[in-house]
Amino acid sequence: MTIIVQNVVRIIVPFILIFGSYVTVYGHISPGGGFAGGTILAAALILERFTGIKREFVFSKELCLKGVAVSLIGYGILKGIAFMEGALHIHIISWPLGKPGEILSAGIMPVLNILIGLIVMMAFVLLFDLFNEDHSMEGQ
Amino acid sequence: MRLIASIMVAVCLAGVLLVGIVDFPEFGSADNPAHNEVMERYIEKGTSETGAVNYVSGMILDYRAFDTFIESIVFFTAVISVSAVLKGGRIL
Repeated sequence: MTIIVQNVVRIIVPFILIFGSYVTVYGHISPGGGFAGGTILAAALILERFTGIKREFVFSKELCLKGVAVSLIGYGILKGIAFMEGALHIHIISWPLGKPGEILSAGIMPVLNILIGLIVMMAFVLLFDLFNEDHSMEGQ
Repeated sequence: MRLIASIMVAVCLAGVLLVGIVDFPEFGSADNPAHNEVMERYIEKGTSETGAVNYVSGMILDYRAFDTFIESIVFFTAVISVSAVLKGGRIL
């Protein structure tokens, strides 16, 4: 890509990342949530990959795979604990619901939203990397 | 021959599915099974039970959280399958 496109993308990508984080973190207050926010974050990272910008920190394929796996396990454990607590009426760890409308409210919902956002972002980036690399010499 | 057989199978499947929807209630009628007390319960008590102002988030992350979990697992499995197919059996 030309230097013009690269510079424009360099300026615009942090704003897209901030907007994606906002959509993810405010998922329980305003429209949005983990799926939409994760898609926006992944779009920013894929835009960087399209234009060929090199950064110091890169979401490599291995990191993405491990991140998705760890986020899925974390989601399962967290929601499993909350679910069984409610089902069996044992409140070992009580999740305060807070005041509706604030960021730190709704129990574990913000954490789950962030985990879903991470899963969607890393899986999309991993898919793009898988299709983007050269497969012409493999599988023979 | 294979074409005729596949057409027969498709027609039979479509027939079975069409027979299955004959007994469906009429679209939009007031006594549909979908119009039960669950919807009112979610609208009335959704915010006070889940603590989320956004009903949809309260639905997919509290009442139906395991559905979202399995959706994510489906997505993860799709990525793994693509990786395995493209890499000839290896993952990454």
